[in-house]
Amino acid sequence: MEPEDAARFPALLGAVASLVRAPGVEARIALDPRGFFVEGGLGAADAASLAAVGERRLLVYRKLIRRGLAGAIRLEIPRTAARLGEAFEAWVERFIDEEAPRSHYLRDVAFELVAWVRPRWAEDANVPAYLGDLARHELTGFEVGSAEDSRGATGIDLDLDVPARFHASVRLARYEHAVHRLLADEAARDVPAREPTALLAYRDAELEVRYLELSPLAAAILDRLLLGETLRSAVVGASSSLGEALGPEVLASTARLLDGLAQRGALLGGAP
Amino acid sequence: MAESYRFLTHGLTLSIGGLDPFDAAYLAELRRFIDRTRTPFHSDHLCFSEAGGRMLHDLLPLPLTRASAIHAATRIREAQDRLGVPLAIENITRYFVPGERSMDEADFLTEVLERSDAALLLDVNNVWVNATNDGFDALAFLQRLPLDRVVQLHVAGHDRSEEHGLVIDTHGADMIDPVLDLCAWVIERTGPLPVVLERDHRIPPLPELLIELARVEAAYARGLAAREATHGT
Repeated sequence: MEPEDAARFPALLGAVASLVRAPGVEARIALDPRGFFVEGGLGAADAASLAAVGERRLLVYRKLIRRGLAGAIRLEIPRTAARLGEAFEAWVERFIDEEAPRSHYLRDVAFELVAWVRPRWAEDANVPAYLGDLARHELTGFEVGSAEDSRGATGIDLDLDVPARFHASVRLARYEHAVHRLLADEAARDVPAREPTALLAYRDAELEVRYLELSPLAAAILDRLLLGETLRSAVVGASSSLGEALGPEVLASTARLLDGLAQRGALLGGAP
Repeated sequence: MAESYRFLTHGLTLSIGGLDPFDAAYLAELRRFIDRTRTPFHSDHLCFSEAGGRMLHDLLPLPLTRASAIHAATRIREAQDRLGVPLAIENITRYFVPGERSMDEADFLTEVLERSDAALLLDVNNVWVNATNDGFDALAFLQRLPLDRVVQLHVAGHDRSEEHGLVIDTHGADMIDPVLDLCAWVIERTGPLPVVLERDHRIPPLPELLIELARVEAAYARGLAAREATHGT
């Protein structure tokens, strides 16, 4: 190995990464490209070589990557992006500048952005209060729609003392706004009610994503079942946590809920 | 499906030339996938995509230096060990080369392949795009590559970007004949190989895509016919 080359290598990779991620690169490259690279730790020859590439080429990756990520994110949260309008691109830019993706999978970038941005939206008066919920709801739909498939029913009765087996697409989502009732049209600007919402999302036999609005008790029971508790433990624990008396009515409504989920293909039976 | 078809797996984010340690979770998941599909080799690109723990989701260019080649070759060997299959390395489209070059691109690619003993996934569209953007002869470049290491070809379309003043490897347009000519030229020298038509943007209706596929097949047949005329094999 040529030691001189080895010492240059990390700085050269860092320079390329900075061209993509560093805030305000466009202005710095336009003003003094050589200075930008020297400040980044490059030697004079490498800095001069890169500066000679020219502004348009130096910024190609920055533009392609940022547009590509914005496009990938918009595909997964189109209604959220539409409601943000021009601010959507600015939030993506900020995400890349301040955080940036970590996952190897492009499909995860929208999830990473939403996780990063929700606390910031909560503090921004220009962003509707429900928008973080809508983004999460759109991601839930994406996640359920693209989840692995499950084999059919387990053939095991859901006895009180066995855990449940759900279809791999099943997710339980909770929001502070009833965003699932918003109009599906991207041009719609209706505002959801602020009300605690729990939804069971699943993919049906026709591969459509479906949502089932849950009562607080149903949501608490399903939460526990999804975590692997037995049916007995889930019903007793959920009732207790909500201060509901565990009587025949709770048992009957739970049976109806589980029967309905089985008929929809969301519940596959008892876990083997 | 794996029982009925032969799978060849291909990735974008191994970051083979990068400095970040390989992501153990990603490698483990990829290995499970490779095991399930029983792929004879896995392919990814000679580039870096990850820096400082952040995944940039593009194929970023490596310096054309011996240190860079040695580093990439070391990482390829490590990835092969951890994935349990041989790797095929794809040449990328790059819009500039970072820093002063101490070797040219064909020598760099050859050195990486020889040091790592990896196979080559040769993307002839990438060669054409680089040659056009930088004003060199694509065929002369191909003549300098170790074609005996080629295990697969990629062909694709590209777009001219006024904004960037460059040809961009978009996979979003029909192929041009010169790229198919390069494909035929390589097949003439290598013999039969899997060829993948990459189209992941502005995907046309299936009948139009099948016409594109027929163009690839025609170029492939032309290459094989030329091989038979030259070598009798």
